[in-house]
Order: sequence, then structure tokens, then C-alpha cells
Amino acid sequence: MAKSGNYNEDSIKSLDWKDHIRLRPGMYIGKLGDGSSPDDGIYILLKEIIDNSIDEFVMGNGNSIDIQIKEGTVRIRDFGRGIPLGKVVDCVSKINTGAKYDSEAFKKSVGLNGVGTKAVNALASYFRVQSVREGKTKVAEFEKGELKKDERVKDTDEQDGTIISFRPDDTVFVNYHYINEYVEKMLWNYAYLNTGLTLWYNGNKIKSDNGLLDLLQKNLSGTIVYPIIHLRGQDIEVAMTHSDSQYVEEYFSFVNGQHTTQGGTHQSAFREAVVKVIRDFLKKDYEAVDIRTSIVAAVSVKVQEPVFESQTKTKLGSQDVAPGGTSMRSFVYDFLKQALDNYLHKNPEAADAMHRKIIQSERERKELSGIQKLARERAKKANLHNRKLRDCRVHLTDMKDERRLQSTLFITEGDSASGSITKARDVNSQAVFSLKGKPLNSYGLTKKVVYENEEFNLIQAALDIEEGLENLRYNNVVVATDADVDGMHIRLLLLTFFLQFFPDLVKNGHVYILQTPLFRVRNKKETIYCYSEDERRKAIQKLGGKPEITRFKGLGEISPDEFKHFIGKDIRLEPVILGSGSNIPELLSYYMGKNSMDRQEFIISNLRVEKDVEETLTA
Amino acid sequence: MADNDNNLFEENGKTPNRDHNERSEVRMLSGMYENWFLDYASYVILERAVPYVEDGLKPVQRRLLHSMWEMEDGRYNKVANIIGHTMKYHPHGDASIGDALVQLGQKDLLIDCQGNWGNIYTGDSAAAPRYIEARLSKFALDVAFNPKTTPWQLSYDGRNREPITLPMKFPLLLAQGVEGIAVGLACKILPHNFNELIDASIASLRGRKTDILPDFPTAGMADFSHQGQEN
Repeated sequence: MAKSGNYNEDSIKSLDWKDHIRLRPGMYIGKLGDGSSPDDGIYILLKEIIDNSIDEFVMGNGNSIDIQIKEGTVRIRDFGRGIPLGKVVDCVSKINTGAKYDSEAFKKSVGLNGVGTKAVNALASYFRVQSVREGKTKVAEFEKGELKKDERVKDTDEQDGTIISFRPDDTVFVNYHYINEYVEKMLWNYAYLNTGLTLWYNGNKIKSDNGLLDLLQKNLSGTIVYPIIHLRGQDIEVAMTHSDSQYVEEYFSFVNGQHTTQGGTHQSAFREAVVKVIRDFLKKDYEAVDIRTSIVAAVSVKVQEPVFESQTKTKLGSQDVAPGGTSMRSFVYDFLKQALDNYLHKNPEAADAMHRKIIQSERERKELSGIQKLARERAKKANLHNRKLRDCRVHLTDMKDERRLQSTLFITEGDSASGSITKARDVNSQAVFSLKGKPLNSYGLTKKVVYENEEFNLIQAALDIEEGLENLRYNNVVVATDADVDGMHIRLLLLTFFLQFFPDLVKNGHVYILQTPLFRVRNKKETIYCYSEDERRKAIQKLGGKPEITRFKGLGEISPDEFKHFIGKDIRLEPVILGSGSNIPELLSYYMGKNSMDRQEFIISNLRVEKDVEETLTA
Repeated sequence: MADNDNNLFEENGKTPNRDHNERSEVRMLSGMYENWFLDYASYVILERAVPYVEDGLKPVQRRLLHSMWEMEDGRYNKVANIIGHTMKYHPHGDASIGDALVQLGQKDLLIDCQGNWGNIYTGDSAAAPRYIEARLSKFALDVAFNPKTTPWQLSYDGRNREPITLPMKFPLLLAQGVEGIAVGLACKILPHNFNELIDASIASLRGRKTDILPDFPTAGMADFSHQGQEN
């Protein structure tokens, strides 16, 4: 180690708990963010508080939780037993204080270190806790973890429970905002996993009677082959069916109430077990892919001391269900072997429907395999030289390179644009794929088109997503079309392609839209890039006189030097987010399918007329 | 206690960071689709495929006529030059502008053509824009232009002004006919006989009821016996 001057007793610091949390919030709540992404810190704060209320519910105390978010302030009230009044302040402000260390019931919860509430307290500009127990109540208020008000115990006629209100500190969560869709989704997951619990979100009731069955039902789009199979066992719950309208497998997996969006050992155990059980039941060795094609399933397991592969707890790594217990694989298999096998025996209609679906998948796969072979050969060539792709050095699959998360593929419209981007890009992390003209409208076509259409095939090869997302080569897939109406059309067509055949790419948040300026307004001194008509009007006003106005009709008009600003540090990306309950097949068929009276009506009543009357600009 | 908590909210309602909820208008996929779709559909309907009822012209046709009128000096102009000039108003590809001009020329009404403009009977295509020439026909100069009665707007780059519609003194839409496929809407109007249109126009101006049926430049037969005869 380098000998740096003053390393003595004074350099050793012992941080107060709240200072430590505020200094290293990432250790406690993952990332900070401003709330644009569902794993941003402000949602974790919410979750930490609700988790405690859920634990009360699990213990059999109070079956409703009231959540209100107004103007960025959160209030959560449960009807549990309430924190023992003498320990209210300790419980929210003394680290490693809690009741969950020795109780059996809490062994299978996600967080049990007694840190959650304290982290919220320390990261809130205002924090208020109130506990009601048997006609008595106690209130304490904090600011950034600092105790500001410690009221005495008073009498009350309120129902027992705990009420916590807090306002995230906006010096930590700069410009934060809660997005309703994310909160609702999170609360619905609580409801699915805790049947019998009612959550009230800003006065709206969120309750599920059938758990994972409801979850699947709500997330299903299109028709299904047989009614959802819903199985419950000790520490495991499963709901599954085969979809009639999507090819890909889709899983919703949970561990101790935590949504593991990236799956993990429990999910792969389920995938494996399903195949085994169904094969045994049908007494025929179908290919695993045929059995799993179109499967939609939700799996929830409870595990003791779960191990996660990532800090944000989105991928389970536990090999066993409890330290030294049975392995995850045999746990899931044993359960399915019994429950699913029984179900199929008892419900021959569902079993038949499933069997037919598997045979159909097998037939379709064999039909495809001819073309696939051809396409693979073509793809091999494409991998050596994908003539539409200008590749970059670092890819998402280069696990050792820290820039892998920056790897970006720009899908541009026409060669005129790709030239500029290719010149302006960062060769290490930014690749360019150029489309020629408008891609095919892939709505309603079968997967065959991905192999037959050269452009689609090359995109698939460039991203390397034929077998799923594991090999995805770029973390960000950026659609960089012109900002004109034809560009909008290409966005529609391209997104339709992804949603049809690679919905996971969009669901996992890899797809973005590049925002580029519509106009450049400049005079001799200043240049302003405008991203909307409105900005243009303002820019003309600001520069006065007769500025030169260039409309960027195509990205080809932007010279490489200018382009550097638009794809460099200040890149403006708009993420493509699937809203909660957004029904993709419905959306696609409405906008991309056959014309309907509805749609005609919709267009006519929403026509966008853009007129520049002379006066507004010369003024 | 309930009071206490309500107070907290009301207080905080008034406190600074009002805008926390305002930015939550993050666009979801459905919003994006709606936005892109409406942008594209509106544009195709208003600015590309469907003619205005006032002068019977699609935007590209109007811009061509306006450009030709600006260039008009009695002599023929090379089509390639007209296309270049039209680009001042029409920010799109040269090929699409050229095709539009050739189509207009083939109707043989507004454009006086020189060179091989193709053949609507055999489907032969026109010679390349650098070979062929055009100027406005006497008829076009007479019925389509009058700067004093023309409503104007700024062109897309704000450098020039272009007509919103031309003050057409003739039912051009019916004469030329039109076919346009937009998004959600499509438009098809059959062409009509020039002489019959003039008769009908005179009749209409005199306040008489009149009836006119389609006719085709290529000649042809049509059965209108099931058409409602009341107009």
C-alpha cells in the first residue's frame, strides 16, 4: 500500500447508523434513481415498510393494509398488533433491533436483519411512526433519522396497528416521483401472494382470493388451451397453463414474496420438473421444448435463508430450500410429481388439451426446422459478416468487461443515417444496425417470418436472441429512426416485431427510443437544437431576427460531429415500458391488425393537424 | 390519531415539492403506440394520400403546381428542375415527387408535356426526369392560380410560403379522380368527362339540379343502373 501521510487514530471513523445508511444507501436499498424504474430506491423504501405489515398479517394479525401516496409522501397503516409502545423509537432508529431473530415464522422472509425500517427512516426527510396498542398510542417523528419529537403515550380509541408516514429525502432521491403503475403492480403481487389480505391503495381495493391463479388470469393475454391449473402445497404454490397466442414461455416466480424477475434456481427447477412430470404422465418422450412452448406459469416458493445472485434480489441462487435441507430441484419435482400428476389424472379434458397442444408445438417446430436449418447456415455467415451490422468491441456477454452494461445497438433507418452514427459512435460500446426502408409488418405472421425475412433474420443474429435472452449481445437496443412521421411508422413496425417474437426483450427493459432533435435553429452566435415544434417556436423567439432553421428530416442531415452530442453523454433515451395490465395482443391487433370501425372512429376524432400560420412565426 | 395523520397530509400538500406527481406522466408502451400511430396516420391522411376537397389536390400535387407557377415563363422546364424546385416545399424523396408529376401529366389536364411521358394505355413508363420537360397548361394557368385569393402558410423550413389550397375555379377533383390509401381511411373517386363536367358546372351555377356519372380517360363501360338516381 502507498504510504499516505496521516494514517493514525483520527483516520479511523465509526459512523453513526444513520450516517452510514446515508453515506452508502446502495448497501441497504440497491440503487437510488428517481422512480422511473421499478427497482429504484423509493419503491424499496415502500417495500421495506409494507414487508413489516405483511409479516404481521402472516402471523395472523390484521387483514388489511392501507397505503396512501400523495404528493410524494407515503402513509402506510396496518392493523397488526402495533409495535410495543416502549420500543417504538428503538424499533425504527436502532439498527439490529427487531423481533424477527428467533421466531420460526420469520425464517422464511426476505429481509430479517432489522435494517429495513431504519434505512427508510434515515433516507426520509420526514418520518413519523405511530403505534396503537390496546387503547394507548405513541407517536415519534424523525428527520433524516434524527429524532425530532418523542410524544408521550396517550389514550386513544383507535384500532390496534402501526402507522408509518414518510417523505423520501429529495436530496438523496433527486426529483423522485412515484409512478402509479409500478406501485400498483407491486401491491398486486403482495395481494396474490397473501390471499385473504386486502390492500387499499389511495382508496382502491387490491385483493386476491385465488392467489397465483388471479395473477395468471390478470397477466394472460389471448386465449389459453385449458383452464389454469392451480396447485398449492407446503411452502410452494404453482399456477400454470399453455397459451394459445404466444410462442414464448413466460414465468412469474417468487421467493418469500419477493418477485424474482430474473428467475433463478426455483424457476429452472420448475421448468425441469414440469417436463419430467408431463412426459411421465403422457408416457412419451416429447422434446422438452415442445412441452414448454407457450407455457405460462407462476411459481412461488418459501425458502429458509434465501441466497440471491444479485443485490436487488431478482435472481434466486439457493440450491436448497433450507440450509442442509432438500435440494430445490427435488423439492419442486416431488411436489409437482404428486400434485400435477394427480390433477392431470382427475381432469382428463385438460390433460387432452395439453397433449394436443404439445403435439401441435412439435409439428410446428418440425415444420420450422427445415427453414431454421437454412437460416442457421445463413446466420453463421451473418455472424462472420453481418452486412447490416457495424459491431462494437464490448458486448453484454463479456462478463469481465465493466462496460458490458453500456453495450448498445442502434437500429437505424436507411444507410444515410447509419453513416453518421457509425462515425460519431463510441466504437467500444456502440454498434449500428441499418435497416433498409420500412420493415415488414409482422403482425399476425408466424415465427417463420423471422427466418424467411432477411432483415429480421439479421436482427435476430445481431442480437443473438434466437434461443432466448441469455446470449443477448447488447444491453440497450435503441431504435434510432428519423423523428418524422415515417420514423414513427418504423418504430411501430419494429416494436411490433419485438413484441410478437421477442417480448422478453421489451419486458426486461432493453429497448429504448432515441430522441433526436427535429430542428436546428441557429444564428451566427448560437445554435439551438429543438426536440419539438414548441421548442422551435421558443428558440426562434429567443434568437430573434431571422435565424437559419434546418429541419432534420432525416438523421442523414445531421453531420457526425453534431451526432456526437446526441448519442454521447447527453443521449436522450426514452425507455419502452409495458404498463401494468397492458394487453399486448390487443394493442397489436388494434394498431397493427386489420382496420376496424373502432380504429377509424379513433383516427377521425383524434386527427393531429399541424398548421403554421404565418403570423405566429414572424412575430 | 386519524386527525393527526390527515393533518400531515394537508400540511405536506402545501409544502414545496409539488411536482413529484407531475413527472409521473411517463409514457407506457400503449401511449407510445397511440402517439406514433396517430402521428403517422394523421400525416398520411392529411398530407399524403387524401386530396383536399377545396382544390382536389394532394399536397405533393399542389406543391408541384405552385412551383411550376413560380417558374412559369412560357417555356418548358426540365422535370428534374421542377422536382428540385418543389423540394423547397415538399421534404421528401425526389422519386416520389417525380412520379407524382408524371401521373399529373398523364391526366393531360394541367400539365403541358414534352417528351416521352409514358403511356396509360400500354403501361409504358415515362423517360427519366432529366429528359422530359413540362410547363403549366393554359387551362391550369387560367383556373388554378390567383395570389390574391390564395390562403398561404409557411413552408416546412420557414423560408418560403406556400398555398394552403389553390383557388381552383373548376371541379378538378371530379375531373381527375383520385385514389389514395391512407391509414384507417382510404379514398377513391372516379374520374369524369371534361365536357360533361363543364355542362354540369354551368347547370349547377345556374341553380339547376344536375347529375353526372364517371367516365374514364381510357374509355370503358360501367353499369350505373343500381346507383341511386336522386342526385
